[in-house]
Amino acid sequence: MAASNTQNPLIVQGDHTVLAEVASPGYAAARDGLSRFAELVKAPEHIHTYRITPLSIWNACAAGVTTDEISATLTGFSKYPVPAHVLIEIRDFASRYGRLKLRRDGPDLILEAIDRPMAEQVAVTRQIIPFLRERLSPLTFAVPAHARGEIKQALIKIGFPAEDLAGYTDGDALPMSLRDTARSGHPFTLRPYQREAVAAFHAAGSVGGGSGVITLPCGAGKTIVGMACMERLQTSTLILTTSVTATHQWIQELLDKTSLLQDQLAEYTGDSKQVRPVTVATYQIMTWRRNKEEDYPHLRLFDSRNWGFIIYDEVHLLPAPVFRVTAGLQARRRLGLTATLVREDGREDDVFALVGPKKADVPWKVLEAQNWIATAHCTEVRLPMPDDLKMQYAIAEQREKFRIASENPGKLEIVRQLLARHPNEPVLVIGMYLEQLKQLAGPLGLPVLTGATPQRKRDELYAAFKQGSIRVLAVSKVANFAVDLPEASVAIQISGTFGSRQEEAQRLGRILRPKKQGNQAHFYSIVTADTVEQDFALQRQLFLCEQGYSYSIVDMLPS
Amino acid sequence: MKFTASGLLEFLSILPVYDSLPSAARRELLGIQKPGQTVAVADFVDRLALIESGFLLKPNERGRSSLPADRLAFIRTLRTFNEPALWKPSLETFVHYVDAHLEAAERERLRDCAVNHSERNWILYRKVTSSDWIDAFLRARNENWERPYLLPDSPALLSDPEILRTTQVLIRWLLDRSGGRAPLREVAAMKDRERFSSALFAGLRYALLFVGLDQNLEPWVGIWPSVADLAQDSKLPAPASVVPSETYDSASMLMDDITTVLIACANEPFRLKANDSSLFAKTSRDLSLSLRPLPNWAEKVFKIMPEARVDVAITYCRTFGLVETRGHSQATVHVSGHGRQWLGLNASSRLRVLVDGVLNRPQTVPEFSDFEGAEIGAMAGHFHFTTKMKVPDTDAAFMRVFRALKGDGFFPLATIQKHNRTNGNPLLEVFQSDKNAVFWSSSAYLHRPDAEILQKVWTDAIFSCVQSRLFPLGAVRLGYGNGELSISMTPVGRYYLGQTNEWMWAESSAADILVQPNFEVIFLGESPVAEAEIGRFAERRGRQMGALFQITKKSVFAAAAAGMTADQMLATLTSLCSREIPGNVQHEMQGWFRQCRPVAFTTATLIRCPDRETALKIIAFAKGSAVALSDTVLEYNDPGKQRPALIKKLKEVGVIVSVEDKVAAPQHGGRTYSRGRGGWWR
Repeated sequence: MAASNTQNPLIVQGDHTVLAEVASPGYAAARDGLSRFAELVKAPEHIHTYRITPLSIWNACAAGVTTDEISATLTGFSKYPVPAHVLIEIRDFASRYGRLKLRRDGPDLILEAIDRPMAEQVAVTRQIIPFLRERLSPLTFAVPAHARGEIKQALIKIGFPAEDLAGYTDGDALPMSLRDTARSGHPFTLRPYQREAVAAFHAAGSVGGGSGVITLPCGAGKTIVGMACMERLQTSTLILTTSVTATHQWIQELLDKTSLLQDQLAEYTGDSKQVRPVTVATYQIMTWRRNKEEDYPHLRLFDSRNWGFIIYDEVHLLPAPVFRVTAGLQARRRLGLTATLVREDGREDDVFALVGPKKADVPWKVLEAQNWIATAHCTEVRLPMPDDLKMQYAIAEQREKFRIASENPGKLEIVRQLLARHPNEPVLVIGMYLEQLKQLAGPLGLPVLTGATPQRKRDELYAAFKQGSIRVLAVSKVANFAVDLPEASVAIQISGTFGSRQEEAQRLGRILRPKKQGNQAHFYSIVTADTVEQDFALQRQLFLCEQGYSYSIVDMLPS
Repeated sequence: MKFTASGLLEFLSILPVYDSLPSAARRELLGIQKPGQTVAVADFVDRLALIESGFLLKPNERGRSSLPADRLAFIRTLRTFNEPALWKPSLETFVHYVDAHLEAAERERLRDCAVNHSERNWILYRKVTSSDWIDAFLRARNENWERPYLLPDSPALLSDPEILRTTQVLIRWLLDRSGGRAPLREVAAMKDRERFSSALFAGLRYALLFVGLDQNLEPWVGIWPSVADLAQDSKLPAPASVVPSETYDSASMLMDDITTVLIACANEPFRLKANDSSLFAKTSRDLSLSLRPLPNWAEKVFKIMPEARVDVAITYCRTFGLVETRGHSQATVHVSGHGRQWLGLNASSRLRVLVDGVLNRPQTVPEFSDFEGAEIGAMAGHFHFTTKMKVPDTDAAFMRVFRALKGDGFFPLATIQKHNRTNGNPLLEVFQSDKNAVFWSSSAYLHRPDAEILQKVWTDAIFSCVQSRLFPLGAVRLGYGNGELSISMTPVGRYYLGQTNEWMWAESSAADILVQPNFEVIFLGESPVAEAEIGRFAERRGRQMGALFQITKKSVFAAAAAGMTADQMLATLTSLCSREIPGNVQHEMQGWFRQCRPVAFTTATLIRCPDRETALKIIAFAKGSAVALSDTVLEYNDPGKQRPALIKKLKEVGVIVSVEDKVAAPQHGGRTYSRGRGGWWR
């Protein structure tokens, strides 16, 4: 073993993963360096794991990070010598970025190779040939403007991402500004990390900016960043969100914190299909169609106006049809907002090619330390299965077992105790089964919000909760995404969707908004001990621990 | 003998001229088969060189040339050098050599004993290729040494004391040379060439010296290679330590592997193949994936494949009684009581059980004090001898090889092998002392071994012992650099070699290991001992550093099935880790352990009765062997094989018993033959 510096925080492994020791004095500096070119995979209490991938290196290259800086960070902060092949491969990954550039040439585009071998490779690659119109010179090819997205997708698939310098169309002008004092009366200003993210995205209006992804943890104000980007671009904007509630909240935020007026904003959902300079739509409506043979009628929205800017909220959930349309929208400026770049379908490279590279990524621990998001503590409360349900549970099918365990009537008493434990805090009681929610809400006198609740009623309930006239709100999974309930500081999960990690993160995200008092959030999961529910809860427990949340288990079992 | 003293003298005098020829010209010269043969010269540069050096006459008018008469003797001698070539010394090449160079009578004289036809070459070979032959000659004071080997009426070759002394000088000079041989031109260049040619002639006549041509057709003279090796090895310095570029330290690969196999077996007993009682390939493959991986270079050098490690681990488990086989046609392997006891020990004790067992020492771990020894032995292969000598202690000889490695530095294994191929080689010891000794190595009879073979067998045994004893048991650490494997003795190794009665594994630095709330066990530095401990109740995910283990419900269940308790697991983690074990991890481990319930599967007979009255009747007859499970169903346990008697009694009172035991139909292996029309069955 060669010489080592065991005080350093990093261990770089041959499989391109990097372990970072949180307790090391050099951790913060190492993390700041590392987060520019590696993706955080998991962040449990002591050791965080990052992964270096071609995509993470290309993201870094797009942000102007050099391979020397990457190597210096790794070697400078590593406990042990960095495996030589890792450094070589990083150089190789990085060398692939920028070897091809897309530029504008009148109505068409030019794909320019850095050297002759690269150009020849492009010329003979089966996946690329369909997008090349003609060879203009030994190093350049004409590419039709409409193929801009598709050729970028194809190039990234063969491992040579193109640097898109073709610029953007400006779209219809839309004068707007952010307010210093929100309409609600609260002072409003961008937080430093939000300002930096906006600047990185905009890149002073150059062709190097204007498209990309900003990664911020739940509760860190991604909507605000989106609005600030709109202010910089001053152009008509299409915003795509995950739910009608989120749509309403975008509109409310735009009205509250910008100079935009009601008649400049429109909602394009199942309820309303208006198109105005700023239109907020859902992914669901965009991908709706009468049957599988038909086209998606609402995708026309993309062409219904000269949009200058498109915002993809929760970009990691971007559905495939929207990807396809996005490929044709490469001349528009695009912003992806997300808490994680990791997609369940593994299409991170499409996000890179079609929406753009990562422009900003602020670790949530940094925001927590600066009190921009709340500190959350997760507690799993285990209670026994009632004797009268034990036999029914024992002979049930697997899926039914989960339901029996989830609907354990003993959970009512636990919820009651937890509510008593947090007598003055706004609480969300979250459940998967509607019957269970209703049965629990009845005795406790809680209002229930489910998918069947009319939108107007939902908005009323959310508003009442925000104002404090309702302290405890029982919600189904409709509240998982993009619901801004900044006052909620306690969440009690009485049933989860099996082991869904994504859902767990989203549910926890509901309570991470900074609090006026204490800035401490509590996330409780109530599970029936020694059942499949506990097994699924273990998967969620692992996930939360890997996200860095402290997790404790409380047994409410008979001694 | 084909050589003559005068011929050799002439040969040595012309040799410098021959020596100046390029090798291609030498090849041309040897290619001319007959004295009168003519060869074309034009366009043959090499032949022109032969003309210039006087080995060919000037060409005639037809451009052809032939050998000059004054060089015919030289060329004849040269050709004798080339026939046969001793490229690879062995009994066969030796026999060819002496047949070509010595007359039958000369060979018989050299043999100096009456033997039957089939043994004569062998006896001569054993005699003249031993260091005794050379030693005796070097001790000779006068021509008496050669008398037994002289032919009647032949003149003594060593009667001149100067010739005798010169021959001895020549042999000593060659013994100091690498490989025991030198180009003949160096002899030709010596003063008093005439005396040296006589010494050379005598040496060749008595098979003290051997000659040949090298790849460039340059003549050489030498002593038999094994004799030279023996002489030179005795002068070799002890192996020097090196600094390898990579090192690998496994607390004990074998102990790790056995632990992994036992834990898996406790979790789910292994089914065995009916034909050879070995593991099914899938089981073996699955197990191999959970073993601690070796570095590629170690796998390559030792040729230790993961599946083979599983087989070895199973074999050891059986030898040490850590597992037991149950059943016959569908046999399964289960962890035995000893196995559970062994898994409950800490890593040091587990390894001590193995080391003591391998060496048949009294067990120093009290729990295994009644273990009688595995009778495996320090050597990987066993040697047996049939000899009139005292049989050497090969285990002790093997131990001496490694005891000589001082300190904890790394020593190249190849150098160790080379240093010990003759030094302290117990096989050579027997071979030198008893020419009729018979050898077996790992139960294989060594047919007519010679010194080279016995050197190779011994050096292979040294390698094999490192490969299959010292390294697996953690007695050595491995190093690798410049394509060379090196080893360093560990404290366990010193214990293995009997140099110490105690060893302590260096405790891993507590700051190096920690458990994360997501159940990962992270190693920030290497700690094979800790790996061996934690591997008992956690699933392996990596090697050396990083997230090496994941504690899972399955792994805790397996450890519990193997006899570990939650407290033991947590105590192990607490002792090895720098920080407190996260509360959720402790909680879950204890919870999982609580979920474990021991359930025994036993076979019993059910008796189904038509009514309650019959059931009561049977209970009465069965005298406590039948228990009512319901009004009409009884469980019958028959420890004394009383069932036939019970059935008989019941028949006598009118209870007719029908037995519905499902007896498995005998399975027939191999082909089934169809009987065609007119077949043998008619």
